[in-house]
Amino acid sequence: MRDFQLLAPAEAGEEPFPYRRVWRTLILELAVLGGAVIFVIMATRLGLVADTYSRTLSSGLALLPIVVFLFFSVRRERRVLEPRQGLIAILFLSMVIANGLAVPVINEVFTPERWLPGAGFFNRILGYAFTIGILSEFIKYAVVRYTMWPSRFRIRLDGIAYSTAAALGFATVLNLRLVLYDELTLSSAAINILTNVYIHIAIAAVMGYFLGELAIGNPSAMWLPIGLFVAAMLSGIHFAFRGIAIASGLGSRAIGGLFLVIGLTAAILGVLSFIIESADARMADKLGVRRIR
Amino acid sequence: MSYLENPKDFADSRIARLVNLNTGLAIIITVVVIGLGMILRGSILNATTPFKDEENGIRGQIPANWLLDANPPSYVFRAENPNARPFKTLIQASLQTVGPDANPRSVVDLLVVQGPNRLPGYDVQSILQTSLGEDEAVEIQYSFIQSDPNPFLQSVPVVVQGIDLVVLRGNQAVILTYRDAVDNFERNRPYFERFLQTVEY
Repeated sequence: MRDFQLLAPAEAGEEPFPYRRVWRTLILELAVLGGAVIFVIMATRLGLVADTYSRTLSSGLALLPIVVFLFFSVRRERRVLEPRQGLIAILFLSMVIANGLAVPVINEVFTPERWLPGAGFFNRILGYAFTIGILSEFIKYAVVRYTMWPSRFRIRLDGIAYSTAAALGFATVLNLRLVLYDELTLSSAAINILTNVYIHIAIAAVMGYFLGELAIGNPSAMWLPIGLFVAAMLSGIHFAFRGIAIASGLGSRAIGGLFLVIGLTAAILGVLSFIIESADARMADKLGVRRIR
Repeated sequence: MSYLENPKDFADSRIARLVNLNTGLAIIITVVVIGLGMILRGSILNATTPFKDEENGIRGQIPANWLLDANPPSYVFRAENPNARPFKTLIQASLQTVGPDANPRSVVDLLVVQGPNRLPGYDVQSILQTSLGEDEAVEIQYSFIQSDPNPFLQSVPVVVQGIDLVVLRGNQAVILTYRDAVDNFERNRPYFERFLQTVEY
């Protein structure tokens, strides 16, 4: 019997990536929400759906990000070798604290509607960042820091995964209050829902990066305070520029705010992706390990 | 070799100290920043701008960023908060010529009589003898219904609460007015109180 031999040695099998791919699912979730909002805007513009207050449709749209999150993120966690635990717990804990603490403090103590709209550009940035911005980011940070951190942090992207879950819970509370109490038209509700979800996820991802780096890397003692400050300032900058983007002469165009938040989210997530990728590559080189991608 | 597990040992005292420092400073910076935010909020809310009308002899500090309108002889000036909802908070000063034997109370009685013709649903709630600086004054509190004149807006009428403070200056009565939606009346009243502290007539 002839003995066949391979001319080249067989390659070792590629080790599968054991975690859910955070960027991929996050982009899918944002894209689905963006598609739904664009569909609603087009449908109202073309007259297929009346652009009036609809509690049912608006509430459905406000809850859509959670449904999409459960479908893409939570479901996929169950299919990987090393699933992230507690994503749903983070989501609901964030919702409870947002509704029980953040909203009352914002409405009763900060009362932004009394002083922020009339303030100048720089006062709007600082005013928003130093009140609503820092409070929102601290709550999202604290939800992750005092539950999952550091025991569930194995790679830097865990920070993004948990922080964006907290952000989604936070944004959903704001969105539900928006559609239930403010009685916005369908298109206006859609734009506001997208804006809240995108900006809270983007800025929470910044804090997620800082938490991930503290768990994995060797940052300084001022690392988290700097992260909170940067996140709060980003929310203030978004608020101030949004005022400019939606103002158009004597009227207003909410679509300007939509483009702004999409661009800002893409920029923040793009920069974070690059930074995390670079940090992982440097760490792999330093430790002499092979990266699983 | 690949790294699936976080290589950091959080039981290490150096790392534990670093984590505690980070966590503690994060709380401190949040409290400090919110404190700064509240100071900024206060400075923006309480910012004023001077108003001066030499012709009618009235000057005072009115809230910054409010819309100012002067329309003598109906009123010397009217300042409105453009961001207030559902009623634009209003501070107004107006003058009314009176006879030589008039007193603030008689001017108030006149305002009470004229009220229902000027303001729908006008209802007097109280009349108080008070003072403005060293001058004798009478304060009348009332409410009325504000409806939007544009029927296409289909807005719900707003219950407005108001104060008219009357002081005499020679043969003129100076009427200082504050009006706001009943829900916001007490909250925004400090704007009027601050105006009264600075007004000269």
